[in-house]
Amino acid sequence: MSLDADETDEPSASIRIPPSSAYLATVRAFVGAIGRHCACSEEAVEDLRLATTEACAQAIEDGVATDGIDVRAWVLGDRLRMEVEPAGAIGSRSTDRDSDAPPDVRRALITALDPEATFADAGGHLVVRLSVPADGR
Amino acid sequence: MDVVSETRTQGPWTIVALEGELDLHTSPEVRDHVLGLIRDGADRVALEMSKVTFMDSSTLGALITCMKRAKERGGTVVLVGVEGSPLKVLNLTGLDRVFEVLASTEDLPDDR
Repeated sequence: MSLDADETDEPSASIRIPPSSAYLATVRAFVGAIGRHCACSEEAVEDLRLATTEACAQAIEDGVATDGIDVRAWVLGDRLRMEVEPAGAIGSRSTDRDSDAPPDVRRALITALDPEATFADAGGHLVVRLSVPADGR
Repeated sequence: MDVVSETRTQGPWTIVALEGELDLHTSPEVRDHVLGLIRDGADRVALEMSKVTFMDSSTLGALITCMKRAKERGGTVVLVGVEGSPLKVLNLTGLDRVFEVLASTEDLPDDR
């Protein structure tokens, strides 16, 4: 399987999960498999699993992912890029919210894990883009 | 899968063994279990985390909630055996300075 792509290509791999915290482990399994396939270091894989979990959890808490949450992956040169984007109409506050996470900690943690992470507003949806070195770098 | 695998006592301590991955979905189980113990009179709670392989910021919030409740009652919550990615989360967020982190349950002080 080749995941090589350029930035204009469709994602090399993607998954859409329902907007429920029950599926966060599924996202981690997906991200871990992609990261290891791309020969990312174990530390990079763990960082990506954590950052992606935080981004998905934020979307669930924000209640903005009525149709689900898309997690997409590209290999761009020597980097593995991941994108997390809520899908669907802007919903009401999620009922799947039983979190004590202090405000802004998720974004701060993502930035600490990936200083080049970006956060973009796409019509009320927060799109989080992450990247880690691939090929064992 | 339950993330609370065992609850036992060791001297003045109530030790709660955790395992698996702690996130927005699973950390409420930990919080509710520990708050129940505190409500029932446990004032020193040690969370044994050597088998925890993943922890996110939802879990940190849950741990802080437990710590606050314990402090209100004159008690404390300590973390034991935190390693790998969970330890990195504690370090990145500075919560390694909020929680006492011990290497082993053998390090728990037995004085009251």
